[in-house]
This record gives sequence, structure tokens and C-alpha cells, in this order.
Amino acid sequence: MSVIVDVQDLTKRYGSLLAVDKVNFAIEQGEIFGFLGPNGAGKTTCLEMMEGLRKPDGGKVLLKGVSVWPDPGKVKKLIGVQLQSTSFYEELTVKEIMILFASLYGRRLSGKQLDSLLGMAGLEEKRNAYTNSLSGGQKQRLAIITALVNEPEIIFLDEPTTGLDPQARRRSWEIIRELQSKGKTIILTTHYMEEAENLCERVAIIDQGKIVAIDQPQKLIDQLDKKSKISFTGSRPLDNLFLAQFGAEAGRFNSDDGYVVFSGDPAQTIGALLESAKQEGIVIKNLHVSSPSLDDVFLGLTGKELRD
Amino acid sequence: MTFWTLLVANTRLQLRNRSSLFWHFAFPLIFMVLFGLIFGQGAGVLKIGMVTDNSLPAQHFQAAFDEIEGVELTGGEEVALMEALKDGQIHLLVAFRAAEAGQPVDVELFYDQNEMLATGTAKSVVRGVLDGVTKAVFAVPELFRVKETVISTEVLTFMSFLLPGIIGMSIMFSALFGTAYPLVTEREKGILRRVRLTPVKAAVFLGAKAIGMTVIAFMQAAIIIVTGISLFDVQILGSLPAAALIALLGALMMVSLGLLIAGVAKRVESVDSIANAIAMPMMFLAGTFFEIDAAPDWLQSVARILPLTHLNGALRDVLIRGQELSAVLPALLIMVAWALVFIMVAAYLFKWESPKIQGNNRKTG
Repeated sequence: MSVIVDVQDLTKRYGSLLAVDKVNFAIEQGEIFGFLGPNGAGKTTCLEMMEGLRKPDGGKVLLKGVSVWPDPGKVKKLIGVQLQSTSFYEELTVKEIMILFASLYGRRLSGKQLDSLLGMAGLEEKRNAYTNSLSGGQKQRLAIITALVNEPEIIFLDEPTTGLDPQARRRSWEIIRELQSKGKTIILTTHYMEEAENLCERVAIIDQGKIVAIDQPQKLIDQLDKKSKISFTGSRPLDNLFLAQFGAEAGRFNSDDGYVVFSGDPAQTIGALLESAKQEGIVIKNLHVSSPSLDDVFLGLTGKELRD
Repeated sequence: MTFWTLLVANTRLQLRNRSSLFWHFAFPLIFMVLFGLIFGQGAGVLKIGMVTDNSLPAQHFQAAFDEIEGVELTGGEEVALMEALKDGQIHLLVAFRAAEAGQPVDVELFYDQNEMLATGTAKSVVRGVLDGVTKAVFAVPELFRVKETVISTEVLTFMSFLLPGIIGMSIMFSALFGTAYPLVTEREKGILRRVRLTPVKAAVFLGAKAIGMTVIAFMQAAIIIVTGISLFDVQILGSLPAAALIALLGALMMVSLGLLIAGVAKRVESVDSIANAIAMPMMFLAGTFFEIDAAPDWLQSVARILPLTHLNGALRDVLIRGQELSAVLPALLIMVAWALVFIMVAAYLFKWESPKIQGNNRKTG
């Protein structure tokens, strides 16, 4: 495997705000790489600097050895991009949109190519439908295949499944996996943990413009080094003093209206929890033990929920 | 190929959008029909005056008119009839001049060139009758020798005057709104950012829009001209290819102004106000509906530099006054100059992204 995307010290400043702060990473050919982070973390800014839409204030982006800046024109034929908010000309049909986008690359789309792209997106039946009659999922899939008309090697997908129902989301995942099987390199952003866990070979967790962790999802979860996740709510708000009795830092507990504790020995921890609660006259409710997920990794690393 | 596909797509977008269809085609027609109903005179009965020499051909000529409906032939003294022509009581004056035996009869036609509404018809009726009399009755190829004398007055039928103005106005409104509105919408919806990711050049992308609007402008002009001729008896004197060239230049000029407006407008909502603020005063000052001779000098000076003034003027001179393209060359050059100025400013102002989208990204990162 060879490195196809190389990002070095990438930096973007908006006034006094450091939106992207000296970010470094490399992506190998054929990889599905995910950016995970809450709104405002710098995911999209990072992606846009890689796509040539937004000029970095510092650092480098090399795509297949070619620097995106200062002349993004050099990589346009190499990349395909699905932007975060996708709009089309409402008065054009799916087929017309595809032909139009191909022509923007100076290409003529053959009937076979069109059929295969529409087939991939499950839009064969919709080829003569106006784009404003498509469902959210269909629009997103159309956006993905318009990014493929130039047969790009690197595909950027900015929140490809945001706002879709689970079924439509899985349909998009299938397309992304199919692209990977054809040797494409895919870089996507998401704020769905499930998506990152299921789809991405590696994820970069980005918070306040910095990459706080970068690895395979399972390895990130393993790094938590705790086997079980214990979540519960109390009959009244619990203070840090009470929570500290279970041997973890207070900041990591607060999750929604309940509390989360990680433990290598859940039986012992739960016993201690119930004992302390009894002494203080607190009733513990909704006690739940589960395996940790990427969500918990995120919570642990950033101290916040992914979607706030 | 890129250009052609873009051109086709843009034309489809314009023709598939109901509101743009309305503004491009129904709106100018509504204007014309309303003005026609308010100001246009119907053709009514054609009135032809005749000065006779009592020759045999003249008698045949007179007799032929008994069988033609809708035409009234009045005899009389030449001086009185000439007055009647100038007053607009008759549309055409036919004068038969006494001829030597064996010579063709001299026939003189007097009419008002600008009164094309009725005199055109009257003229062709008279010529037809003369031909008929010659061939059917005398079987002599050249019995009459027709000499036309044009009595030009300042009167031009209102509908004839109006038609080129309606074309100019429609090109202006369609090009301004039809360029600025979609472009700002595309910018706001992020379509332009998506396009920007492809290798297409901005000049090609925008050029296709400009030519697309020119196609619309030609369709408009054709519809307006056909309606003018069929409903309001407007007579087109000049060359249509010359008018097409003027329309092309006018469309390109107005599209450039539309691109400029798109550059100025921060959001879709402001396109309306900016474009209207430019188009509305220009519509009235540029002699679309009436000449502004009565306006104060300074206002007339302003009007003389407006882009639409030259588009309207050139169209009017060629279409209705029958002038050659060379006669309107100054207007064409001024239009080219405006177009260049607009394009340069528009190129300077052009943005792929709207300020709003950038703001959003700052928030959502």
C-alpha cells in the first residue's frame, strides 16, 4: 500500500479562531478514512482545504504527490467531491444532471457508464425524474455519483448520510464499500459513531481544530482499557464527591441526564455504587452495563457528546 | 462540448421554470396587448382618395373598388385630398395623370411612410388593383407607370413605435433577472461551489449562461414581432437579420449587467431590489413607451447614455424606420462599450461562494 493523501501541518485561521491547528495525517490508497467530530470541530474546513476550496493559512496537502496549493486546478481531475449540503438544478432530470457534470470535466458520459453509475446509486428508475422529486437519500446518492463522473481516485464525502434514515444510510454505505472494492480511496466526515465503526478502516477524532486520536475504530475502543461501561441515573443530582468514590475523573461521568462509569470489574463497582447510594439515601435507577463504543472513546477524549 | 451541454442545460432551466417562462414570454405579450387595447387604433375601413383624369383606365380602376370590401374610395380635388391625407382622414392618395394617347398612364401614390398601419395595406390594394386592371382588361404588360411620393410626417402609429421598445424592454428584464437570479441562487445553494470543484473555467460556465439568455432574447423578439404583425398590424420595414444582430448585442450587454448585479447582490432577496432599481427607471427613460422630448434637458442627457436607450433606438430605427445597420452603428458601438464595462466590473465582482455559506462553514467546521 502506498500513501495517496499526505497532510502536513495543515492550519486554518478565522480571525482569532484556529479552526484547524497543525493537523498531520496520511491516508493509504484504498482506505476508507473518517473524520469524526462535533459540529464546529474543523472537519469540513479540513476537507475543504484538501479539496482546493479553501486556502490554508499554513501547511501542505499532497494528493498522489501533487500539492493542492497554490493551484488546486492540478488535482481537480484526481478527486471527486460530495459537498455537505447538496443542491441540484431542480428543473433538470437525474440523467441530465449526470451528463452536465460529466461535461464539466470535458467528458461525454456513455450510456453504459450512466447505467452503471445509476445502478450503483439505485437510481435507474429515476433517470428521467426531476431532482426535486427525489428523496433525501436519493439526492445524497446522486451527489455521490456526480462525484464519480470523472473516475476519480480520491473521493471526498462530507457527511454523506447526515439526515438519512437508517435504511438509506446503509444503502449509502454499500455504495462506499463498492467504491473501495474498486480501489478508490475514500475520505469522509461523519458525526455518526455507528458509521465510523462500521465503515471506516481508520478514524481521526477531531476536536477544536486538533486531531486528538487517530486509529482503527476497534483499537481506539480498546484503548479505553476498560471492559465494561456502567450507566445509571440517580433520584437526585449526584455530586463529584459521591462519583469520585468509584475511582474515575468527574468530568467523564456526565452523560445526558445520567452518569457513566467505566470499570474492569463491574460487579465490584456496582456493589460499591449501590452501597454508597444507600448510605446517602439516593435511589439508583436505569442501571445498565454494556461494552464501550466509539462514543465512549469520544466522550473520554473530548469530554463531550459527539452531537451537541 | 462542455459549452454546448451547459448551453442546453441553461436553456432547459429557463424554459422549464414557470416563473421565468412567464417573465420571458407572457409578460411582454401582456404589455403589448394592454397597450394595444389602450392606444392602438384598429385598421378599420381603409380610406383611399382618388384624383381622376377620367381616362378609361381610371374608370376601370374606380369600378374595381366597388367589389373590394373594407376599402372606401373617395374622389375629389387634389389639393383638398392632400389636406385630408395630411390630416389622416384618408390613408392613401392615388392620382391619375392625363396621358398622351398610346403612352402609359402616370399614376402617383401619396402616403405617409410612418402610417404603416393602414397605408401599407392601402398601397398593396391599389397596386393589386392596378395590376389586375392591366392584365385582365387590357392585356398590356405596362399600361401604368407608378410613381410613389412619400409624404413623411411625424406620426408613427403607436403600436409600431411601441414594438421595438417592448423587445428592448423584454431583453433587458429577462437578461437582468434571468442571469442574476439563477446565478445568485446557485451560489447560495452551493451549486457554484460544486461546479468550482470541476475543471470548467468560469468564463465558459458564465458564457454558456450569456448565450443561453441570447437564445431566450431571440425567442422573445420573434414572439413579439409575430404578435405585433398579426394582432396590431405593425409593419416591419427593416431587415430581420440586422435586428437579430442588435438583439444579440443588446442581450449580451444586458446579461453582462445581470452578471454585475449578481456580483453586487449578497443574497437572492437583494437581486430583485437591485435589478428593479436599475431596470425600472431605465425602462421609462430609454423611450420604451414614449419619447422623452418633453423631459428636462439634464434628464434627456441621462437618458442618452443609458444602455437600453441605444438598444431601443437601434431596434426602432431598423425595424420600423427601415434604416440600414450602418445608420445605427454609433448605437451599436455604445452597446459594445457598455457590455465591456459591465463584463469587466462583473469579472471583478464575481464570487463562487456567497458570504452566507462561508459563515455557515465557520460555524459547522
